[in-house]
Amino acid sequence: MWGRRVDGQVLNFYLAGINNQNFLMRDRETGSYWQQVSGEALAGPLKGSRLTRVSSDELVWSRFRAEAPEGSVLLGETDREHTDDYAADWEAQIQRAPTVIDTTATPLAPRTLILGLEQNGATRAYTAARVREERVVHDELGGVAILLWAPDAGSVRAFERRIGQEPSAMFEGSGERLTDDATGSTWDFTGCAVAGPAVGQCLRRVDLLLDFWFDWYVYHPDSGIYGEPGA
Amino acid sequence: MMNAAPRGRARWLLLSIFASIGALATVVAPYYVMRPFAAQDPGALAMVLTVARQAPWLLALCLTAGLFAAVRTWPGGSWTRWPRRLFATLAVLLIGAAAYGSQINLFEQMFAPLAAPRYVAASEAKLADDEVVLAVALGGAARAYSVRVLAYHHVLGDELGGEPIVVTY
Repeated sequence: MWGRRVDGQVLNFYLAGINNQNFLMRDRETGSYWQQVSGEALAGPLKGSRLTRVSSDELVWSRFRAEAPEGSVLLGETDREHTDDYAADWEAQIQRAPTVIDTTATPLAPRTLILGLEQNGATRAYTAARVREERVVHDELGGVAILLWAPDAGSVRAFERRIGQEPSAMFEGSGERLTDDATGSTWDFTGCAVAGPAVGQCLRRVDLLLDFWFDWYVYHPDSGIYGEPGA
Repeated sequence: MMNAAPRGRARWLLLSIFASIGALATVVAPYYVMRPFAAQDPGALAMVLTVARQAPWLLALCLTAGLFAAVRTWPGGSWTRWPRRLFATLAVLLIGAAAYGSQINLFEQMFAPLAAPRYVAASEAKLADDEVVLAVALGGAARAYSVRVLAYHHVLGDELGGEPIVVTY
């Protein structure tokens, strides 16, 4: 998700091409071409410009509704023709689709779903399956202590484990609440303390990108993989 | 003097051919390089993106050349001119068709954008509890986009909390 104001100009994008199985967008205002996954303009008057990333979450609907009852949601088509067909076995179809990026030198299959993190120039991919299985993942990336938390099968967030002066608190628990070992406080999935001495504090959110491994690998060829040697 | 006329004719014939090939290449090359299940070479991609960006000028040039060749082919009363006239006319039609085709973006046709995105309050929406959504919070406003809907359209322009954003999936 990207901000679409560039140098004070609001751009309107449409899908206009493909580059190694990631979409190119074109803006109507300048005719520049942009890579969807990196937000970088590849051609046209704005070549070299970058869109500003807007942080977004993948959540299950019930969680969004609980966290943002005043929020709104995009409606599906009234013409349901596309989406219904599409939903049924879309994931399965996608898994079978061929890829063009050579990932044979890596331990993951090209269409493995990963969560990509980038901190201070260091990048690491966490397979979505493993994070969902472990639910709470402690790690360190680019000198930043990281917490990945997947409380249900469709929601995941990443935070920095710093609480006040403690740069790398450890968290314990499962489901909807975690407790940290530095202050003994209880934290909810928004990353804020709901009980204990840290109440009123929130952990810093860390952006993560849900992507296919091959796509992450194209743009982050030096990326490590969580749980693999050399990560 | 006897050779001048055939050489002149060949010249306009060649111009018709080159203009047609140029017009076709302008339209087809971007799709050829951006084949969905092929790897894209950065150099080739940069080239066809330039071609795509300059397509209106390139096609106008081809069309002008094609028309010019047809006009120059036309004069004279002899019936033997008709094959050449027909060829020149077909070339102009072909270039015209290419110019028209260049206005159609097949990628956009394939993944039609949502014509009029509509939003409802979270309290009134009827999504399944476990449906996965992309959620964003900006300027005090929160909005969710169903992955099921986004996966078909891929690109959606929106504005949230006063900020223009583009939702991609």
